[in-house]
Amino acid sequence: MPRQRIRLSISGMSCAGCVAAVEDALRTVPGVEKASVNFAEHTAEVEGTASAAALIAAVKEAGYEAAELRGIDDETEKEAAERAHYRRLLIDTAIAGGVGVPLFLGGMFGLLPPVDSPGGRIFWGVAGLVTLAVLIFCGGHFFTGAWKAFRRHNANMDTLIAIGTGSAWLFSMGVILFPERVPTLAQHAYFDAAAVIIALISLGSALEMRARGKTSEAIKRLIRLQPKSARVIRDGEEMDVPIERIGLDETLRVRPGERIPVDGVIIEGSSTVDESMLTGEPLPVKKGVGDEVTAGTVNQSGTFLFRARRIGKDTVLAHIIEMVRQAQASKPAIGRLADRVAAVFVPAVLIVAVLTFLAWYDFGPEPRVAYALVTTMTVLIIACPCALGLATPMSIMVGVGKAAEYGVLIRNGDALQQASRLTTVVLDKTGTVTSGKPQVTALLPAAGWDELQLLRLAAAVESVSEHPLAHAVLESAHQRGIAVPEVTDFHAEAGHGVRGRVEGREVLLGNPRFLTRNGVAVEVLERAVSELASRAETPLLLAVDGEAAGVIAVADPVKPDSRAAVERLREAGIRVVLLTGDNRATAEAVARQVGIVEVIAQVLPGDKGERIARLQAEGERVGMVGDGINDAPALARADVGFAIGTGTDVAIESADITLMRGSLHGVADAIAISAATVRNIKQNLFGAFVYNSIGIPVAAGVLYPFFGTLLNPMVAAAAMAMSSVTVVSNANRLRLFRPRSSPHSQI
Amino acid sequence: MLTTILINLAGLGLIAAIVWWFWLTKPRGGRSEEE
Repeated sequence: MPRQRIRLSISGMSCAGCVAAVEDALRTVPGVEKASVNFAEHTAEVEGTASAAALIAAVKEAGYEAAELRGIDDETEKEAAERAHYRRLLIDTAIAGGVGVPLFLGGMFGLLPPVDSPGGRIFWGVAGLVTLAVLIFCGGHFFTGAWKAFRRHNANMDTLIAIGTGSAWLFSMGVILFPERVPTLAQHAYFDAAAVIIALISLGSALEMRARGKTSEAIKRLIRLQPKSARVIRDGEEMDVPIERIGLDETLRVRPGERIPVDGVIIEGSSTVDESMLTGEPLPVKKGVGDEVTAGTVNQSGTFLFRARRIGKDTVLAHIIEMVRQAQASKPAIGRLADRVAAVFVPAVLIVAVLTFLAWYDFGPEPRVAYALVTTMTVLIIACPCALGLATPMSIMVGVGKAAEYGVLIRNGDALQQASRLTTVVLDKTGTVTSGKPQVTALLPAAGWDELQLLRLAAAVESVSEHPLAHAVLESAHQRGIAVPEVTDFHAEAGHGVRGRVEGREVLLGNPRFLTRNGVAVEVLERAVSELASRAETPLLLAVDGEAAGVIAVADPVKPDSRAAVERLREAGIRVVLLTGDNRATAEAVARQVGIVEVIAQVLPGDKGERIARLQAEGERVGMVGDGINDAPALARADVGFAIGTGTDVAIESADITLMRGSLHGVADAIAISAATVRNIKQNLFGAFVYNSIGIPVAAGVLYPFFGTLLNPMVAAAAMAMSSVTVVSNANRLRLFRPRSSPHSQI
Repeated sequence: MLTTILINLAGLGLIAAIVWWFWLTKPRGGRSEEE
């Protein structure tokens, strides 16, 4: 078999440990050279000569499910699988809740028959079988999950749930089958607890999944940029061919309004092409014979033929997709706090259970064995905190909602938790710190001229120009209500300036070089020009009939609240860095205005992600704020990517957090809210564990020597109810949180 | 008497096994949960 790259969709991975297990399984297959698992996407990429079938078999052997993803477009299968999983969790919740809640309420209000009555045994026997079905059908994955963790010398939430529900069921069945062997004190069936635990945990997982699971949205959106088929000319005949069948050097036709299918060079015809999705440049670009066209961009007006130069995974678009995908894959998934607690809690509980057994066996009253068994089982039952599965998702749900009130959209729980740990925030300049729209900032007329005259003539020559600076001048004229006269004999010199005839006068507008070259003495304006340069503003010089008339300053103004927001970040102890492709002088001028000390300038768009990685290598946890497609890899690479809501869709989809207001205060708000949420999660975990932890010694029988009581089923029920109530109400307390010194009222 | 001793030994052995499995022989070098 030839060497190939196979992508697999993997299901059943619940933590980073599973990633290692799957990778190991794949690497043991003969012929595999490289295997890497992307936890965020639940996919694996394998290189080598092994067949897909062999790889899938190896993954299944390791205890997970796998299917081949055919090509880069095949994301729908995974999406459908995720939806199905979410539905399944809701169904599990409904079934387990439908069994557990009536039993729980019935027991609490004394409506159910006692275990030792003749009718009671039949009732509880049936309840036991129904609960067993719930455990197998709704909770089976907890048992397999626990087993997988155990084999890796680990214990997690699954272990707790499996031990708790499993021992609850076994114990209860023992009580029903042999009531005479069980001390009267302990005669109680815990089926309700087993079913309710499964219901609550499934509900928690469903909530978590709804909040998560959009990591690949950015990639999907990028893939959608690529058309599915293209019009190819083969042997003089035009035909529609699926995109993956297009070969190098084939001739393709693109008609108006169509997306360009692959990268290539125009060989016939011309047109304008909207490349905004790739470059962020809003104006369409003129293309003629010999010009390069890029896959994913949109042909506007003309029809042209072009020759395919880069296809499939080599196109610029495919490279961007790959960069985003790699960046997402290299991001570590934050370990679930509950799992970390469970890793210690579970073995400790097991040890307590064994000690309990021995203590009762050695020192307990007769029947010693029965007492020892009963106490051991109840220790295991009470140790499983029902509210544990709700602790994290509840806080995250409320925290995400809170953030939304402040115009901060958080994509997933991981991002929310990561944001609280950021040490550095990197800001893109254009569109992030500044408004991204050049504006006229000053009008400096020469002697004998006034501001309005200056602007009126400048607006006239710029009225037919397509340059972004022209837009700024026209906008300014429009704001001041100036009627712009007509221009004739218009001529634009790219990168330098424009000229034209307005009301019979020769008008020149451009940079100092352009005017000098046209014989205009600009010395009178020199001071103004150098002052503007030091403020990083662009001077546009106006000359009328060969005489300098004044300077119009155009700049991309800093957003009014950028400075205050940067100050808030620095007060929170966060290192703030400005990252831009612009020259150093401009970057530093902007940095000075907003109070940033550290500037990384002249960075090529493709290198932004690498700069982030370098900061991460220094040990920083980096948040990146940006708005363009060129920021997408950096946004994905950063520990937390913040996209400005007015930015491009791809940037928004690559980011973890979107700032709807476009204000940098959103970053400070997001960090403050995420810190509050993480605090809340920790309190919740404490709340979930504390009642059960108090229950453990009671179940072990420490009260027996004094009061002659064992674990009262009411105590178990109360612990279950109290921990859930505590978690839900504590999470709701988060709704009252307000980020300190945010200037924004809530939406 | 013998049963009691055996059961106690088994219990202590079980505790030792738990400690050994979850703490002493946790795979090193591989990725752990926290990563």
